[in-house]
Amino acid sequence: MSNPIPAPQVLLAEVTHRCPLQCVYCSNPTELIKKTEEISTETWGKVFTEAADLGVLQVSISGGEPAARRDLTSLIKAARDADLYVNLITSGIGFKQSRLEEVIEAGCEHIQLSLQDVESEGAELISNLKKGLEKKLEFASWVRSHSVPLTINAVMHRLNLDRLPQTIEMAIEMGARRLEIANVQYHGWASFNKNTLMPTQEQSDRTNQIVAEAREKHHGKLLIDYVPVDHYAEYPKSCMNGWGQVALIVAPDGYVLPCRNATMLSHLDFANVVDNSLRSIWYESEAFNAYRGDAWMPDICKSCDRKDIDFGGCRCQALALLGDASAADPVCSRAHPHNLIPREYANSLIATDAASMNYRPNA
Amino acid sequence: MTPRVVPLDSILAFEPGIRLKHDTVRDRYVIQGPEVLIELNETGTAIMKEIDGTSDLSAVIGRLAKTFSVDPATITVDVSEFCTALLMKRVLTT
Repeated sequence: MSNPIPAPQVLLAEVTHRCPLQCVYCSNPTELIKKTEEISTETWGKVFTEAADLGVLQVSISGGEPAARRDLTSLIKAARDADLYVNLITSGIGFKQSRLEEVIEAGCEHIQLSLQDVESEGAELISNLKKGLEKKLEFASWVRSHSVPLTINAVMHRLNLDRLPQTIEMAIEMGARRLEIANVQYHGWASFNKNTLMPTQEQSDRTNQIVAEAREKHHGKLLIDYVPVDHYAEYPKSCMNGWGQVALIVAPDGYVLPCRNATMLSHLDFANVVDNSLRSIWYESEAFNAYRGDAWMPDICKSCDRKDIDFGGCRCQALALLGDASAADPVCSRAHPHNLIPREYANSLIATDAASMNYRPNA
Repeated sequence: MTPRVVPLDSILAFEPGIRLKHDTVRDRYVIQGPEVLIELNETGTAIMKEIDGTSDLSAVIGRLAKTFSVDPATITVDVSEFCTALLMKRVLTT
């Protein structure tokens, strides 16, 4: 290892995989963790305390739907007691106004609400839940009545990308300070629906332009973060800002992962917070050291001047498209000069649109 | 689009959900907010500590000038631009 390992700054606490929605692109792993396997309130408290001691500054409490845990308020309080900045990532479904008030009272500092579509039918097609959009609009109006900042996380794909301008308008109407325009990442559940969801190159190009215009138009009012379709990119995304550099994820059963999809890298062994300290997992575990630094990289990445920008890209994408988790990201136009793999792949998916959606189960 | 620099009579406050934190592990101050983490140097920290939601920008500059024993005129542009950038990031509000 050439550089010392930096302390982590960000914790993603996936407190449950249970969810009232069944989104076809859910970022949870395909083997969902059951309620009986979830770690306790006390163990989460230990995680938050150890994370803060390690240098973590903010936690995102996510799921599944975090509200599915009856102890959500206690979890938020425990995270605030550790002086972490507390984000709640929610679908807004399953909340009553009184529960939202309890969550804010407990110390939740920022709420991120997912948005499947600006049209009811589109939202239902993605989540297999009726009246989801209407409930989200109501939830947003409750958040607006408090002073807690709201982010809208709009997940985009071929079926709703043409409604991006309306999506931006809806985020503003909902009172959002931030909007994440995030294209689906085609791992896990999304990989079962990629034929239906993969955007066209034309949609991708138009989206880049709409985002640029919206950023200028709403400058200083609405902050826009944008995750493009990486199949059409020239360079890889800076996945997790580097493996084991900034963030760690704790799964509902206490296993600690360097990225949300890391369980698909089945050659790695992951450690659990129940019988290991977060410190030893971060600095010493095999999984966190597997893709740190450049020792694992193919020569073309090792000698590349972008290796400190994108860190060799996404390991899961390399495994999914090239069958080798240590290969250069398939998106990279330098490592793969013809750069046809992801584009051709995307086009072949679009050409064979599937007949039906594959939903994730609620639990 | 270059934003207008914030006027000296503006009263600056933190936006809801924004806080200034002493990061003891790294011995630095940071601004925290919704997906916001801004590392501050000594000057930035001094400015943020003066923003109290009741003082206008010229009062903030006056106090900073006194602390650092400089003429307020020599720091007005830098402090105004710093605050303007944070207004655009919705860290501060007027």
